[in-house]
Amino acid sequence: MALFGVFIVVPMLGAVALSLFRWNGLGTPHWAGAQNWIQFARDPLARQALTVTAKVVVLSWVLQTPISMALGLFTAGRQRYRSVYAALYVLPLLLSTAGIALMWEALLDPNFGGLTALSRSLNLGFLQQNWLGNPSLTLYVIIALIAWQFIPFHTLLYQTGRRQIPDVLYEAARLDGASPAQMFWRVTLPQLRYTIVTSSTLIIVGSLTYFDIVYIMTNGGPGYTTRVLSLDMYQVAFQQNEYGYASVLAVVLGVVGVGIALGLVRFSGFASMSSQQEGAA
Amino acid sequence: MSQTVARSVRAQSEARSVPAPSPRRRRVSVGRVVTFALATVWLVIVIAPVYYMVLASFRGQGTYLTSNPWLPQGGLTVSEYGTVFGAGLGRYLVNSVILTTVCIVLTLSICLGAAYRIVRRSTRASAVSFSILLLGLAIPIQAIIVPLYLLVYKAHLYDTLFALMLAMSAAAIPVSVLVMVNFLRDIPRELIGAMLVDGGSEWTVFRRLIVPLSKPVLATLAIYNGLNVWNNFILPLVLTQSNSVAVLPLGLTKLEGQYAINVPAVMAAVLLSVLPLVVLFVVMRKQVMRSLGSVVLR
Amino acid sequence: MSSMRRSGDQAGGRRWLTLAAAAAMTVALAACGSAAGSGKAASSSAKAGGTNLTMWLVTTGPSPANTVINQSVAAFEKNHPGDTITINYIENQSYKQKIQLAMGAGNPPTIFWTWGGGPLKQFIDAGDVASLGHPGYASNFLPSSLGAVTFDGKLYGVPIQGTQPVYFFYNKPIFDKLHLTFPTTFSGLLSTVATLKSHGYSPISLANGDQWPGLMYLEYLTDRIGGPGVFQAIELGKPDAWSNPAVVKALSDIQQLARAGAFQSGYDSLKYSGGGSDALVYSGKAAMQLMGDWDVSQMLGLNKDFVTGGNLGLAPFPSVEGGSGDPADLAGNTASYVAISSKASAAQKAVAEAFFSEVLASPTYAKATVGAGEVPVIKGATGLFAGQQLATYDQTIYSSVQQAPSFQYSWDQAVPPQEATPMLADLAQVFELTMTPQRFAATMDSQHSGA
Repeated sequence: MALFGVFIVVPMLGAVALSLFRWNGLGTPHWAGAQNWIQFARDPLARQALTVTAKVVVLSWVLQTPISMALGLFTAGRQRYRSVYAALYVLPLLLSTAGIALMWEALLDPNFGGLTALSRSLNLGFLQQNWLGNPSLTLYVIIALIAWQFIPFHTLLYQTGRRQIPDVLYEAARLDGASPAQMFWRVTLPQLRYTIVTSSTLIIVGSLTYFDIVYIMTNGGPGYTTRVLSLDMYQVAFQQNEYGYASVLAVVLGVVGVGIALGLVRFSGFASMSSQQEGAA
Repeated sequence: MSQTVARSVRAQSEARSVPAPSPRRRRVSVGRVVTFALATVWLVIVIAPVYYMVLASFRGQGTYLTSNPWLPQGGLTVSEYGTVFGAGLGRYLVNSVILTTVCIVLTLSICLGAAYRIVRRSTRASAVSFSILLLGLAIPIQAIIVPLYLLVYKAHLYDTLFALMLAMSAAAIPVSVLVMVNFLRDIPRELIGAMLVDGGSEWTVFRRLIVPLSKPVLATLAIYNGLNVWNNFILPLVLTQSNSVAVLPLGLTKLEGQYAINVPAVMAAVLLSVLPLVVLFVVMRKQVMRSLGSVVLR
Repeated sequence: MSSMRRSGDQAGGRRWLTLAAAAAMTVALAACGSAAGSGKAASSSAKAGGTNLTMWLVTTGPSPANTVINQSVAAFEKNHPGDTITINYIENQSYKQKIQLAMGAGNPPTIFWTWGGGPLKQFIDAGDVASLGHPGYASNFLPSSLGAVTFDGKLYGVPIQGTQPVYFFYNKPIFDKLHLTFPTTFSGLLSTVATLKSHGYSPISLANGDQWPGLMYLEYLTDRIGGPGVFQAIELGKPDAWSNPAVVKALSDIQQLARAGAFQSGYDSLKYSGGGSDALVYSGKAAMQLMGDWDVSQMLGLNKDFVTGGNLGLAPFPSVEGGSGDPADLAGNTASYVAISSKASAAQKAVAEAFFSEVLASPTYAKATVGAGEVPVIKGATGLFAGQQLATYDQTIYSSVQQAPSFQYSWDQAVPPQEATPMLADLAQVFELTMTPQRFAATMDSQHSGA
């Protein structure tokens, strides 16, 4: 706890304090009072960043959760080939973000990329697109790439979660004559409740602060269509040298994230530390 | 009770090896085929880019774009691997390994204890500290970078691996605790109660029951946190300076020129750095599967 | 149950074996890596009685330029026993962040890389940079090259990397095949674009994913249309400087090019850093690219035969009919520099200045950089080009720099940082035809007054 307090809480408070100043990183900070906050309220770019971030968060969850769950259930099965697949699925997690970004950049290049080459040889015209430069397309491509990188992790979560469900429950359901679909809805899903909450919390909060791939691949472009709030904050702080204003963005990001995290916890009844398996025996 | 469980488990595995009665069978097979197909599609989506990466790493800087991306023609070379070694990859790799290992150990040991305590004690204090920990989930690194830098500098820890270890472990705590609490909560109170009745202390319960049971979660978290530390770029960038302390992501940037990136070399470096990870992961998975087996068969 | 345990132990044994294998692999990689890599960085052990300096540079990547710098530093250290200069190479993008943090926290390196202009001025105003006064060695350099690091008549930095003006680099075989000569006017450019397009080429290769390549068009067009005064007003922060008709016309011209399909597909996401835009030119898909002169050595590294075979043409940016700017004006990086931080001790400063006068201002160093593909900014460099691989390019570039009436510094280095980011992002939108020139000018002007 102490470790956490020192290294996380203290700097966060520092960020809150900074948001009240105007500072370019050098010299002494000038007191700016609420000026930075007013600037934030008026700034259309900040609003754009918020919208973009919201889209990223929501769509990430929508994309990653069903796929991860499906894959997790798949890999929890005991067939031999499934464990081979499971091992291979983990690959994206092992690669460093820089590698992933560069690789996909090259693949998606409209002139030289792998997808373009495929579209030529397989005659699938729609594969040749300006994936990373088309304002209406790029954000979704980025969301898809983030999903590509992180689905393996959530697959692991669901796999572990599924393995934890005692076979007894399935046996009982089978004896009761349940179909596979019914078993999924009545046994698997409820038992996975806490896994779902954990995974969802991580996805939502993680995509709120996610930065790396966007920074490397598009740097907020084309235009401002992929400029998520965390990137906005980074640019304002380190490229425009306005640390005070950047701290405002940081605080906003923190508050939103915390709000969501707490909300999710409360909503799922986390606070009651009861076991799901009570009465199973 | 365990007898019934064992019997039903045996029945289940038998049931799987024996095909179900006819009207069911066709439906199940179709389901299986579809499942297999979809899973393979995803496999292709995962593998194809990596294959591309491998291929690119064997090309030169001038040809990786103009050669056919999917076929291994057009002059493969290992020259970029040479570039990678010349850039001092080894040292960065070692630093990364040290940093990651220490962080994993530190984080997991702190978090398991904390999570157990939160689950066991329903006091006000533990609920509050849990909430504070959750706050940490949402705080982005960029937000605290500047104050953190000042903090580290004033504490004379600048440019040390130690500072990175502390900062990264701290950052990993909220997630780990959250996941562990989620997991520990599912351990039936009866089991714990039984051990206590048999004359054990809380510490015995912890050591004999919780730790072995938590192996799957610990393994998963070790993987997740390990990867975050391994890939983290911004903290080493800000908190370190010299080559002797640089970690792998920083090292990768040294393969970038002032205007251009040596893409094949970066690909090569990334693949090389993945090798120890892959081995490690294979090891951990065996561990996970082993302990899961023992849990179920109880 | 017991059988489970036994196989578990076997698995455990195997596990240790694989762990050992992983460890061995890591150690092996480390050994290979550090053995090869340890020679690179300058020595860092301090000898008694000497001064230690740290120097932060941006030229990362195993490159000839780095080798030259490393060797020069090593030679300098030999001549000054006891004094050491430890170099840290930091990647371009992150460098700005790092130096900012370091300056702000009072923990800067002794010598640091700078591009001069607005960002350097910010450091100077904050008292973080040591003034070099009017040193003797300054006269070794071309006067125009020192403009970016001279403020209030005092010198604050010294060139460490050569001049990098921007030209059109074009694929000669394509032009020869279509019997075209490189256009010298903007309308000529438009018709060349049309011809190239009709023959299936991408006329211009543009890597606007990085945003700064597009800026080059704005720099040149503004200068050709309205002369250097237009940007000077912007630099000084005069009100409505961005709304100058020259700027607006330049932006419209850019959009005209974009609408004519002059740029290759995907131009707004292609990055220069991956070599993609160069690949378009040397593979014959695109006919030309507007780029800084580092592109010559880049191309040489990527596709040696293309350059040594004489296929890479160099041409100045066309003039604009009716414009008041001199067609011999240049835009680009006048040079790249290093400066001394004010936190340096007197001893450190003395050693640093010795390094400047003995190494950076010397013809020996200049000659070495020519070998590494640069065009140095010292006076009388012509004699150094003879016999070098890129001699013709070097000479052309050097002469054009000597003769340029004005050499505009890259705008993203010259304007204050707060303006640079929106300028680049909004300009990218102009290129994509999602923002009008008027809107761009209005937004940039309001940035000024707002800040």
